[in-house]
Amino acid sequence: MRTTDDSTSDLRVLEEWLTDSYASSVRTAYLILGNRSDAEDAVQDAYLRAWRFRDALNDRASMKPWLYRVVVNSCYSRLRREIPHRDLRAHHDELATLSDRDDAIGRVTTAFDVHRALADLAPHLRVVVVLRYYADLSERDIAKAIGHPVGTVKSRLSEARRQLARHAALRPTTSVRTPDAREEER
Amino acid sequence: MTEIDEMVLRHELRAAADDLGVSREGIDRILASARPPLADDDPPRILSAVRGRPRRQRLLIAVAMVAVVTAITVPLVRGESTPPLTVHAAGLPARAGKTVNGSGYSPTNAGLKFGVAQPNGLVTLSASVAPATAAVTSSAKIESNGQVDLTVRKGGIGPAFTRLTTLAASDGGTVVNSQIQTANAGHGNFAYGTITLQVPQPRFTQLVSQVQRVGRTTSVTTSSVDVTAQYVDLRARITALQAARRQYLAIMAKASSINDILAVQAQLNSLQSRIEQLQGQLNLLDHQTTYANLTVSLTESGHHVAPPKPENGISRAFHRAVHGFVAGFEWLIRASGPALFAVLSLAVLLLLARLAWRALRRRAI
Repeated sequence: MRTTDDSTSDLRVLEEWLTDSYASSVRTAYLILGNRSDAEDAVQDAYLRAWRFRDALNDRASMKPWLYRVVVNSCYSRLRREIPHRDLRAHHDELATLSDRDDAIGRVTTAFDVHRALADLAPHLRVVVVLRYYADLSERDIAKAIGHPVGTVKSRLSEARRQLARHAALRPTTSVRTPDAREEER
Repeated sequence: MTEIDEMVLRHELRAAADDLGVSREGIDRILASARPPLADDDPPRILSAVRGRPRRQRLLIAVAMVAVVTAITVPLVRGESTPPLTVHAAGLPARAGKTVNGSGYSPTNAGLKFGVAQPNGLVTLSASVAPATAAVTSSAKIESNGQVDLTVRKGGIGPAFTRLTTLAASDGGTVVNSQIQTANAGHGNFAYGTITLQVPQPRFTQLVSQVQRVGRTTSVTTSSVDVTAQYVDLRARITALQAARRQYLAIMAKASSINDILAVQAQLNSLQSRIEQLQGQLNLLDHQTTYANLTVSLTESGHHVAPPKPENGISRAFHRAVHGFVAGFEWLIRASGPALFAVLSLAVLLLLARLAWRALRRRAI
């Protein structure tokens, strides 16, 4: 039986989780789902669920992949149940919320292209790409997060990179624009 | 195949997501949702014990699957190994009986009939047992028949026939037919013949034992078939048809037009024909169960049917090998059913377990 003190203590744990990872989780979910409100809802569900079943986490060192696993599952759940009935390409509202900084038009265009390319990837490929190249998870941690072997992660990453290289929205980027070139442009 | 550069990809993703403003409101919302009392929300102790330990969960699923498959397949395999004798021994009343000569057994509609080979190679005794005879009641209809082979001394055929006729008469029966012939076997003439005795069914067993004393018995075959069900069924059909005939007769009495009378008459004719047909079958069955037939074959001594040539060792071994091969093949076919069922069951259980495992895993987090 949990006491009030235990609950308060647990809430502090949850707050620590949220402070550490909420923003990155929302952005990860945003890249997976392509939609801000869906991403926030998915992350909220995921954290509440994770906190409810926090006893299932035996190894504190596995916290990060475990949390991402919960987030990814929540995203998968939304992709299966809700988002297929909506237009995934409707990112205009989200694009409008991007902060207005230097080169705003270029950044908005980039974001739009990336979302288009990600939206055309199958969800299982999209998830590994986002976890690897945005959330910076190792292949081993991604394997834990998605519940598949490391070999599967590698093959999915490779397939995703091939598909993205062929994607019309990113082709100019991959062939012409490089990070260095972009820095130089700025 | 060209792949997008990893550095570029990393950069593009960050460029696309890092500018997404994330406010503190989301965190506060989650904390507010997490505040309600938790006691009721805790997962059941057993469930949480399983959820937190995948190995234990897998072990439990595996044990459950093995238990289910074992529970399903073991009775099946045992059922396959049970000899079919037990099934036939409790058989239903049969329509017709068959006699068996020779060694071994043969399940028939009437039950099991056994034949026993004598050491001299001749079949000396065959007996059949109808399962229903164990529960014979006063109203049971039993059809009994038999065959007795006798050898009598040279010139003893005539007296034996006379004695058999006397036996039948003393048991309240009669001689249905008889036949005596003479043949030349190279070492002199010999006589042989057949006589069929008919006695009331209850006296049949007594007659069989009496007949065996007339000469040297070389073979006895009897069969008893319980035809009570068939008899009852025939009677019921006849009763129903008779009731229908009475109704048509009543209609006939009220019929006024020629057409009506002719139509009813046609039905009555058809019914009458059917009733007579069934009544004939019933009478025959009644007669067959009232009286039992025993056919007695008599041969004078000195004339023997050549016994079958005994098999030599190689021939016997060959036949045993063939028999063993066929038996093994039969066993393989019999066993393949339960084995296939077990494999399919296991496959389905594994599939279900995998689905359940995935569902549990998703729910758990």
